[in-house]
Amino acid sequence: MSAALYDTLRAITTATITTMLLKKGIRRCWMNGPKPLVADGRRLVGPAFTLRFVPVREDLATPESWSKPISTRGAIEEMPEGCIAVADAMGIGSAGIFGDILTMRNDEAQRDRARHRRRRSRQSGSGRLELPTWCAGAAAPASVNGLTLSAGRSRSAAAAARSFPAMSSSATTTARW
Amino acid sequence: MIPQDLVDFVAEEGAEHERMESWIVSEVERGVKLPGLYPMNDEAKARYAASKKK
Repeated sequence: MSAALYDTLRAITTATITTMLLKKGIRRCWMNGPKPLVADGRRLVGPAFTLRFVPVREDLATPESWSKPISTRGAIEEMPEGCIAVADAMGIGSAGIFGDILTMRNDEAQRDRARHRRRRSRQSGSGRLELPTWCAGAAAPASVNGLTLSAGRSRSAAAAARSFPAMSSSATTTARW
Repeated sequence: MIPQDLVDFVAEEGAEHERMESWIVSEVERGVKLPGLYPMNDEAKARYAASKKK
């Protein structure tokens, strides 16, 4: 998708997007539940990188699984620049899908690519993450406490999100469920 | 979430929808009543079309 297309989509409200898709018969295109962790009103557009977690599977969900090829770590490294990570954790709120280090790596990887392309650095502030996040909330336990990453892939779909008002958040960047 | 094959449709129709709703907002701001305006009847459509030519 071109930068011009992104700019066009960024100027369209998510309410309008749902109406446009309804004209095509798509009624369930909006993610009902995720809310912005920080409500700054920004609207984001990007290709979706989807992740699916399944509950439990204690035989697979162990700290050792963090080193396996299909892992949240691997997914972070596979995410292309500018993507919006859209994660389905099936409503499980007792474990987070990404913690601080993974979101930091995601943020830094994006900045590395941007720096390389634009030949200039970005202000990183005081080290606090600025990754826009829409989610159901925060959880202390790691994902393997209650979830197993079953699939992650880059998809050719656009996700749009804004952090206000009611008919708004339709996608997450990174999320903890 | 917008399926890939509908992105162009949403961008084109959505942009026009936003223009239309912005015009409707401007009409509401100047006191126009909603019936016939939202959704637009033929008279409102004609006024909207005229506004785009300005």
